Amino acid sequence: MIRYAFKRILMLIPVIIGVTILIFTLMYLVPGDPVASILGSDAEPWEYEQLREAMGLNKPYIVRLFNYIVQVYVHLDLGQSYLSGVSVSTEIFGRLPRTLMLGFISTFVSLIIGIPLGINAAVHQGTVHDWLPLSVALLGVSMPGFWFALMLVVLFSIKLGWLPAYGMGGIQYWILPIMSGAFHGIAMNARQTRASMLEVLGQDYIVMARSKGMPERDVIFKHALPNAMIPLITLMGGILANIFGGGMLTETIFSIPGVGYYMVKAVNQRDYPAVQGSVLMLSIVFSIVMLLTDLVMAAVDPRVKAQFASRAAKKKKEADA
Amino acid sequence: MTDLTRRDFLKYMGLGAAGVAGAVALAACGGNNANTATNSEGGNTASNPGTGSSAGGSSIDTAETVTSLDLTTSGEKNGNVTMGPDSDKLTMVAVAAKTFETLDPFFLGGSMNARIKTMLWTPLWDMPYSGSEDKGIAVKEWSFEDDGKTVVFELYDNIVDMEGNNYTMDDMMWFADYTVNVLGKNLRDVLSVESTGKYTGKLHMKQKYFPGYLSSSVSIVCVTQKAYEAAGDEGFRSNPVTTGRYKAIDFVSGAYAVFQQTYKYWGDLEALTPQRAANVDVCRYDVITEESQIATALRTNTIQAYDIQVSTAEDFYADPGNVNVFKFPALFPSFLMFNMYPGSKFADNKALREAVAYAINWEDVAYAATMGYGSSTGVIGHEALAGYNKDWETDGSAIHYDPDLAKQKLEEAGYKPGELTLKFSYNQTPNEFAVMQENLSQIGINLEMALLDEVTYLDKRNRADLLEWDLMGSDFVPKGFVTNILFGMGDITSAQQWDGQICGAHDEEVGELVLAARYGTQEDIDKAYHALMDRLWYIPRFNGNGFIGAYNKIERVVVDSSQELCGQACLFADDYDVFYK
Repeated sequence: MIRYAFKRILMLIPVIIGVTILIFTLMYLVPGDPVASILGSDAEPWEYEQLREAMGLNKPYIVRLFNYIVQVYVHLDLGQSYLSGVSVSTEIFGRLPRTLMLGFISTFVSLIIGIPLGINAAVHQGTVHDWLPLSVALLGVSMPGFWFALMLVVLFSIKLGWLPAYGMGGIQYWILPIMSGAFHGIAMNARQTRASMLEVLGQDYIVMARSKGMPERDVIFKHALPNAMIPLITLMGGILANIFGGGMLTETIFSIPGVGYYMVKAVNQRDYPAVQGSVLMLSIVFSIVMLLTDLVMAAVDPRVKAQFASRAAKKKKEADA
Repeated sequence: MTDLTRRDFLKYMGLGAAGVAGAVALAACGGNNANTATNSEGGNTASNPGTGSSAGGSSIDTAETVTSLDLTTSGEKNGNVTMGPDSDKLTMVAVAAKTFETLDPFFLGGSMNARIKTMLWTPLWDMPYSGSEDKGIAVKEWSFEDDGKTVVFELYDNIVDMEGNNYTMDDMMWFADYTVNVLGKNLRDVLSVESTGKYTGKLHMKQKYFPGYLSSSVSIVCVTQKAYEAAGDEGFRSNPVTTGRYKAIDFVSGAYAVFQQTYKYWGDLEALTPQRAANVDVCRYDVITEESQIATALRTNTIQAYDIQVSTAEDFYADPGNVNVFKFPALFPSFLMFNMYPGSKFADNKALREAVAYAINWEDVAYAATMGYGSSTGVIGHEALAGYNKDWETDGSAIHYDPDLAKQKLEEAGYKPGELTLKFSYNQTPNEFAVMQENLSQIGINLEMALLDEVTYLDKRNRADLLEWDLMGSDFVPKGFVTNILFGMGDITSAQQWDGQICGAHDEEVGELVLAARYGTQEDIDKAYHALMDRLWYIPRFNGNGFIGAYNKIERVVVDSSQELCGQACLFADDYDVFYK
């Protein structure tokens, strides 16, 4: 298990370096000039060239890429924003808590609502308890998240006037973004839980448990649910990662100053260090979440654990031989 | 692993997730205040000759601190009760349409942030909205040397920051050096600064003086080196030491900033330009970058007013009927730029420029852009712009719409109808440029239209790339580039530019009264005026130094066109009588 974890952590390194190179290259190819954003419309042509040279933007692609990689991985410095002059790390770490909070709470809400809905649907298959949540879930997985967010604003802010439409402040400011972020996850969790539960409920050991006269509640919660939850762990990692990635939409729509919003603004203004730093940070968070998901899977699923145990035993046997 | 173990694991995982979420929530809530500015007023020992009372009558001597800042949206009057006759303090929640991550004066660029910069730090010059002449703010006296480009000036000797540091020429020299040599930026049109004494110096400018040039083209503000170096750029980022009338009391990067009057402004308030004599105590800028969010914020009374800069945005805000949009004539000069780079179609072809000029129906363009206000310019070139030659001079009369003459000029230019296709790029006001496209097609010139985002637009314009564009539309004068000859609806020789529209949260009564007054009698105008007076938040006018709260300033408004009522009345809020004839 430790070897597996170590191996997975090592695999993160090329992934993150690959992301760094990719995002640098993409930003290099994007049309537009950050110097024009910085100096505005009043500068002379020679001033543009002077600043371009000072910022190293006139150097060849490969030199700039090399400098950036050295800066990030040797000096551990994400650079400074072209426009605000503020350290990109400072900005990102200042905003990351909001992005993480949005992601974690949205995921948590999607779990506590989605899983009971899925269980209920599976247990009452074919009834209104099944098709109603399933229809809503279908809507949830097929509806664009940004559109749902805008509909929430129209309903709760404009029509009802209950909740603020944007910005930061007390807990009321977080309700709509979390609802928006969690809706897709609720739908996914409900559908997956239902499918897993139906599969497990058809197994022989469930039939055996029922034939022994075990109460239905125990059959479901003690025997069926734990086994049905295993696929959800993988799904949960994906949902969390999607919420982090999709955070840029939610944050932009609700004007939440998180990493996603920062990144969107940076892209619009050709603020290369900010874009590169934000993408890098989100990719690291994403990779860690997926790593944790895999480790949890390995820990809780006896089949996965047995797979590693058998590989280790096989290797030991080979070594002994 | 047994079933029981998995169940336990899942149970604890659920609890753990709840715990993590809770912890992160707490951390994030706590982190919101990480950048909170905590300026204090202590330590200012400098003279303060002008803080007796503001023109609006606010008792700023006694109002040293704002102990509780209520910026909530609930209220009795369809808006923010912290603003208006019922409130003790004037506060205003505004929109920063562009996000800002810093309050560092060296990085507050762009039009929005430049306004904030001059709220916090005293500018050298300023220009009243009602005029076009520069007015010295930090500069006491100035003159020009014979070359017309060198400004000889003297600073006030009592300029101090919040901590009592006196501002001198050494600070200005440091500011210029830091901007150019350390940060690699420019000082807009200032080529260099020269110190000739403790409070005297020279500015070497890029261009010859024209009215308004200094206030619009000098980006130097009064920042004291001692305070900046003591706080460091990180300190100044969120908690700057200012020399202007406002200080930052709360700031969250990318979210909002709250500014409060320092009440210990070094200068004479009476000597300020009217728009800088704002009587707003606290001003909060919320960053909302999307137009739809701004409209929502208006409809839900989260903000009170928003200055729409683009006339065509009116429909966007007004359509659902939840927002009042008040218009007044927008005299933004609108320019059409020819690519004058050597080798371009227009560079050596005056007849082609004339063909385009005569082909366009400027009255239609003016209507599309400004509801009919504005007029065609009489010039097709300006000596301040690159590529100008005397051959372009006209008699000054307006260029009129004459498609037959345009066709003749096109033939003279060497093109048959349908033969010429021009690439046309623009970044805003599509209505008026759609009119131009139609006009030009009538004489056989095809336009390939490209609506660009701001960064791409500037990039293309600055490079004058012949492959990218032949014509460009703009609402501001570019300076010193290889492009340019231009003409527009406004007379480019006039420096006056007025904002377009102001909209406020919905109030049916006010809306109807203002609409009635638009084409009504003086009585209608008076009714609308009083309705506005009772609802202060419709009147405040965004300006370079906050907002002019008008309720205790304007005594009477007489206008011959009530379209001007909201905006123009506020422009002259310091005057007790406003007459327009």
